[in-house]
Amino acid sequence: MIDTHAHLGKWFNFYYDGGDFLSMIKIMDRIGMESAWISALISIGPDYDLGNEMVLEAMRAFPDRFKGYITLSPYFVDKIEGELKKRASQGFVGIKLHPGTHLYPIDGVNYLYAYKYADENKWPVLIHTWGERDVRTITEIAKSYPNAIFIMGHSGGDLKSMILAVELAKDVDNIYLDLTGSAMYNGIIEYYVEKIGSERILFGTDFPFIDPRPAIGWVESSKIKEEDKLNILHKNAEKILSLIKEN
Amino acid sequence: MIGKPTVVPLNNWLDAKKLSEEQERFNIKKALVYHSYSRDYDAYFGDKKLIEEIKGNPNLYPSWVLLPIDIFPTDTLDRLLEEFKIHKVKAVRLFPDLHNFILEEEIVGDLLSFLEELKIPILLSPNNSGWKYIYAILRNHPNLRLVLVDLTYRQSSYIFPLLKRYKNVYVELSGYITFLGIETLYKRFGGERMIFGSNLPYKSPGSTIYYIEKADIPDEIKDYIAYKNADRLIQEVKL
Repeated sequence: MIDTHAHLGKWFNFYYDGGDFLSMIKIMDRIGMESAWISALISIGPDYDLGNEMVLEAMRAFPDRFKGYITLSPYFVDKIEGELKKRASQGFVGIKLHPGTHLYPIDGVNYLYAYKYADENKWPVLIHTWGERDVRTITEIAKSYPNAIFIMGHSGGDLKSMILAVELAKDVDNIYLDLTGSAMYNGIIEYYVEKIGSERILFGTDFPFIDPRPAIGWVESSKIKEEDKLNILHKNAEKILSLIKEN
Repeated sequence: MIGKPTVVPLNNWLDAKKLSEEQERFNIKKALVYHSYSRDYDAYFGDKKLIEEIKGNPNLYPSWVLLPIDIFPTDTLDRLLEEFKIHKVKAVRLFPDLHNFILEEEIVGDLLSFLEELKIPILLSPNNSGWKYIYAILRNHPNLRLVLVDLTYRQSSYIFPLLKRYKNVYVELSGYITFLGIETLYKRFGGERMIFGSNLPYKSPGSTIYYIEKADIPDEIKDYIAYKNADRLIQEVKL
């Protein structure tokens, strides 16, 4: 099982025990989670650089268990190129953007270099999306950078947007739908598999922002074939990693 | 919940038969249920419909949706008690925001005293009533058996003080998916304050079942969470 949408650390406005990488490893061992692709919550908040350092520390402590996303802030645009190159050399495997907390549009000019970089390197870009506008925007961006892999974080979030997401993603091959979300709507996994198959659906949990176990139970108990579950929980993520390695 | 709600994306709703099929799939032996019509159309109409639809199924316990007694058809508490006895009502739900009332003492105080006295659990979502009102009703009715439902992972700051102060407050787990939430509640408050709930048809029971199964707590505590705590609450209702 590979969690392609996980985090690290604390969040500013609610409480949970742990959140450090050791507490994450402990629960990953308990549930048989092979690896988690992480971005630090402080990066999504006030300090992208400190967060990327925290991710690096986790990656170095458990190289097989944590893969790192480079989180970028649109407000430090002159640092983006350098940050991408530095972190890529350190073994990070993708880019994380959070237009929601950074209050910056997905198609804003300060993000364009990151898309170009991902396109040139066949990298995944995990973008938080919430609402119909985000779903429509990421679809258009994905068409402009066909070699990059766009992971539509939360697939739009609310149910209406999630239904729109699969309609729009259907014909755009470099968009992957991300199951991460607190709502875990009953029936949406089956609906997605029916609409686009299981090859472009990724498993994610937001952990430790949210506990990972309910999402696993949700996927495991969904009414889809075992091979589809395997794609979602494991194989699709492996495929993305193999593209990066090939490059 | 059984019955067709107003908003039905993905045609996601259950009648009593389909609910039983889902229960069987997940090995859920018993359930407290309410009717969508009680929430989305008319409380009393839906409550009666619920009784009709679950008739003959002893493993489904009716949970009635109530309104303030002044605007509920059984407009005295004595009459309400009679109805509860006839239909073996074991729990109630309130939807204050949705049904356009607030949990002020003048509006629901008598009803809450009645439920407190009879030890009838109230299932209430803070997202449909407001935390300030939940704190207020517990100050006025400290023995109320209050089951917090439709929680989110962001609400520990509100939940912990209630569990600390009021021994009859319970957390239904389907929405409370905060990181290490079960372990944290167990460490702080023991295993008797958590209750398994599926939130069908909106959520898959598989989520909460897996969450409980994989919790780092003793197995006997998992049994309390899975059914013993809820069973005790139902058995202790004094009709």
